[in-house]
Amino acid sequence: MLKVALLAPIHNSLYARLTLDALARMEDVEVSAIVVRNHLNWQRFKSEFARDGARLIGKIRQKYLLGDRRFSASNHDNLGKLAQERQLSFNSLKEFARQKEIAYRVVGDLNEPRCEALLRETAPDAVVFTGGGLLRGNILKIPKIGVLNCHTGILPQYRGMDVVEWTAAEGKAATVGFGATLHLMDTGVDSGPILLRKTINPQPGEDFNIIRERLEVVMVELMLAGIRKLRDGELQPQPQTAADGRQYYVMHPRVKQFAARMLELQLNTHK
Amino acid sequence: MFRNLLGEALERLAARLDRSVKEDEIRAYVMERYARLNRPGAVDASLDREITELENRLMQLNWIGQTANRTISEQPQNRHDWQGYNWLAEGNCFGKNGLEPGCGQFLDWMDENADTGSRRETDELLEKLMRQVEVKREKALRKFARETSTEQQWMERCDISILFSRSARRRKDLRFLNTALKMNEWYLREARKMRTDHCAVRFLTALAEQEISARELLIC
Repeated sequence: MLKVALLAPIHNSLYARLTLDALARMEDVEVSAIVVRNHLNWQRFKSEFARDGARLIGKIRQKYLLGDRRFSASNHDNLGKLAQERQLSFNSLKEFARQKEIAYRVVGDLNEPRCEALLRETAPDAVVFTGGGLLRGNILKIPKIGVLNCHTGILPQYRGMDVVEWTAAEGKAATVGFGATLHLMDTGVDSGPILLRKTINPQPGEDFNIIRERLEVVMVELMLAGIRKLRDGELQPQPQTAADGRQYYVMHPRVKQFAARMLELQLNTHK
Repeated sequence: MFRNLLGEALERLAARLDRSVKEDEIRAYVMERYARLNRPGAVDASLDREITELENRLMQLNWIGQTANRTISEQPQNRHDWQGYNWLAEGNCFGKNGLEPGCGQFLDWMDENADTGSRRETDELLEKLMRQVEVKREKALRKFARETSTEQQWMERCDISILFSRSARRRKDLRFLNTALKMNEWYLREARKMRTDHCAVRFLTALAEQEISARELLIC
């Protein structure tokens, strides 16, 4: 039996809900705890606004105003479609935790002592991280196997922020490609041992939003495949070294415009 | 209905909060400030060399024509004797108390002249400096290892922005231009704090360097 805990950035995260729903149905896997970051947090807003600027408002609109409806007009693979296919029946992690009698805690920051205490108490073999900021050593060292994170880019080459856009901007759509990487977290940024990787094949006409939405589906698949393989002892983490890749940061709007033109060019060239 | 209205309101708010500065705004700012500094007798003659270097870049951008009264040099000259910069032997631009003044120009020189032996060291120093700026954002480069005047602090920030723009071109690495674009945007909002002509010229040079790199690297 593999014991897992789930960390989530917000109580209604569709990525977290879909992952949790499948984990709860998985044989020989037990979900022992769910910890969610409190979304009404001034410090968090300030720090995310400093990082993301005006685009944070767009994120808020997506998460709070549109929620699962943000996918309603899309035809490509996305989490909304996956939720329909899987007949996802719950709207919040809290609701699920109550139904299944799983320990549930809301915290201001995932590194805080209340989160640490719950994880120590429930002693998971692995922690499934579905977002919510950087984790410190006090949390990372609790699970026996480690904390699993799925990064929306190809590791080790593309670490950090906006890596879908950076891959396009650097003209690497055909060589490195767009994809997601499941890895064990360490105190660095996307620098922990790699577990699984999967790429997608974007089509001409697809933009960054569509690629990101398609990658969110891949992230659920990879996270579940990772847990299944860890349960069965089939995964060997592959360590990264700093020199294997580079760290990328939030992309400036002018660079992003360039990245969008590069994406269009590359997708049309390689169709 | 309520959700639609709220959605529109959030879109308007996002547009208002968008502080990114476009190329034509940068050009207008630079040209307006340059015109002020370029009036006869407007600035001290000791700044002639620095203004010439700015003009070189403005000509490269085709923002001005050939200037009549100043000699145009090909590349800006390195103005320092780098002896005494042994703090870099410790592998960091940051001392116990903060940034080592002079590191912007020194790293620029190092990056331009790096041989195989020093390439790795230069790479690491540049990466550390970029990470510091990206992580601390506006709060980065505010503390200095030694007592440094406000003017010198602004000059150093401008030099680091210039370093990033030039390293982006040298290395064909967009990440450095990305950082320079952000830095110059933050500093543009604080430009009134750069009280001396010397600071103003250096900041205009940083903006021009950024635009030269953007023109070279943001082309499909």
